Amino acid sequence: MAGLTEHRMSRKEFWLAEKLELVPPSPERRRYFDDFLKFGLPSRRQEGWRWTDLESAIDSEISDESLAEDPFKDIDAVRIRFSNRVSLPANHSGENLRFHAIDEMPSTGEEGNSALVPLTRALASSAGNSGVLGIEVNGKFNTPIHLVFGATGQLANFNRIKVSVAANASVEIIESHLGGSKFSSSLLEFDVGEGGAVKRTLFQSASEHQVQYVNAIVHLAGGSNFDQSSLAFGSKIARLETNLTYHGEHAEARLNAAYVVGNGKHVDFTTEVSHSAQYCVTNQMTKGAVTNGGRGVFQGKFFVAKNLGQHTDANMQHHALLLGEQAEVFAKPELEIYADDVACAHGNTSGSMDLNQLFYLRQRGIPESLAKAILTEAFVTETYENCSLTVGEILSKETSNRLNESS
Amino acid sequence: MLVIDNLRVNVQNEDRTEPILQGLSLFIPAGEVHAIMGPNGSGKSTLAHVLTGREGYEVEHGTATLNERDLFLLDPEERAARGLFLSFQYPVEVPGVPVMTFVRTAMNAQRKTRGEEEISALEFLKKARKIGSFLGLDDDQLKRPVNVGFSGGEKKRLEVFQMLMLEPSFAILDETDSGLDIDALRVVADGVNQLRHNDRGMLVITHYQRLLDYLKPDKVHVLVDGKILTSGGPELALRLEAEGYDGVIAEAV
Repeated sequence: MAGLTEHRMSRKEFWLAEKLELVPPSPERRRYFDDFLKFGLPSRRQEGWRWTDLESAIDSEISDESLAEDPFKDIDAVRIRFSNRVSLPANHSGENLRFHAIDEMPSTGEEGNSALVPLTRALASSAGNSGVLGIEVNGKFNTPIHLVFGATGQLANFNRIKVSVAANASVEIIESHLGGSKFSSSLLEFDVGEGGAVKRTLFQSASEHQVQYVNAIVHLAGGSNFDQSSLAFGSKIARLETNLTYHGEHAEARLNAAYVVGNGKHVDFTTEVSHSAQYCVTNQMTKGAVTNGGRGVFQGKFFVAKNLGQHTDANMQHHALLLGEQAEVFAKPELEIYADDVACAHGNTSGSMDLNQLFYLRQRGIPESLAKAILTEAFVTETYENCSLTVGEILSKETSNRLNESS
Repeated sequence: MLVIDNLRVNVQNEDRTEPILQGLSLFIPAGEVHAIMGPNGSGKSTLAHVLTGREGYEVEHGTATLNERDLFLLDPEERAARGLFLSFQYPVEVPGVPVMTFVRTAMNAQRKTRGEEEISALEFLKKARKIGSFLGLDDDQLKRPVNVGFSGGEKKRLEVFQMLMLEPSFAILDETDSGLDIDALRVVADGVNQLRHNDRGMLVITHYQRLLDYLKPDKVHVLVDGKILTSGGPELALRLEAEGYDGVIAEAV
């Protein structure tokens, strides 16, 4: 491992360095890995990781290959599985949609909040021999593309996907992040051209021994639209990041997320939106329910540039229900605004269930546990309002099943 | 049949124990409608809450039975399943839960507790449509989340809708007339009258005579300082309206 050893590696980092030997060697990969080693695995000492100590959660001793059920497995979609190798659908490359392997992509310099981005760039090998699966959308593509992440038989798994949406093209992406390995990291890059539209749905569920990192880096051109809905049940640590930048005027993004977290599970939604173009609109709504022994983390940041960010209209909401004395929620909403003609709002609450509502339901004859499940479900499913009917129904059903299990 | 015997109820107000009901007794046979009137703070809403099992009240003494079942031994949901219904003074908004889903869940939960079969979707829908149209609630309103975006009058109508759907054996109406204009009052009263039946009792809590014009109670009780001060026929409500509480209280004391 010559060239890698300038930095002292921890046992876990050494374990990751061994992975590097398994992927096709290239100078870029080595450079990315070196970038990773400069900071190492994120731990609570690092900015943005105070409540999500990934370093200590990665433990290479216990192996857990379990995979969560995929609620989207039966929907009509172009399905791509990221297991030990990528299986591309046979007949779906056409005029509007093209899959291809990208050997290397230059770093855009935006590394999100951690060294996990260069790590993933260094180690992603799932697209056959190449590091990146490219998905090119050149028109209106109506069938959802379903990306299924869940590799068994390996301790760690890394994926890179680049979705390029041409001007005025549109696509729906559904992701299932199901675990399967002890540590998985997936990096998705979305490049949306002028007037283009992406509807993204993210579902995450894995065991209390698995650590997952998902980062979407989104670039929006003028007049484009990015509409995201997430549902996370957590794992030992599930860190779900979205880093979004507006590059053209009148672009819009909606970032909705729901989390339902039980004992031994941890969900972290971290988002950063850079308003670097005028007249852009961001609506963000995150809602969570946490029971005893669970932990929810929300870190949201809106950055509004001094001149470029004028006339930004942005709203960030995070609301959490604590359903037990040992439930934990940590939230850090941040607005960093340098422009003077903007409308930016945020709201953040966490608390226990409304006792007036609970009594109202019980007075009508609904048993307490069911009443709590109904109220919690109604509370979090508000974030699915922008989903398509099918997706919204699936997410609601998953939420309801999960709440009934834990009540 | 509701029997309340010498009921004493306190609430904790910071460090202080405050007595609210101070030896209240009441007997409402099946088939009768009784009204309780009284000045603010006399304990009317506390009575409604403690009978239905809301938290935050301490029953220091006394009993309350519905059809010979001790209410204080039952959870709120069990009291409901055994036929006790409260039309709330301030109906609660339940965002994200449509009226129809809510009422059907409640109805089936009650039936399950009583060991009965669930209602079929079709039967439920037919019943809801019929009662909805009687109360002037359309399909669209019944699909909306419970009480969200409803006006004060619509909320009260929705309470009566739930009552007619669930067909309780005993209903408590806590200021169901407040916030209603005269037309809405008539609709709500017609709804309540629909439910009058030989084996069903009602307790109507109100400040005003006007609801009683439509409901025609069998008895009127005046609640003062947590006790029934005096009881009488419907004419007592008329006297209260004319003379105010002070006059009636002065005479009774």
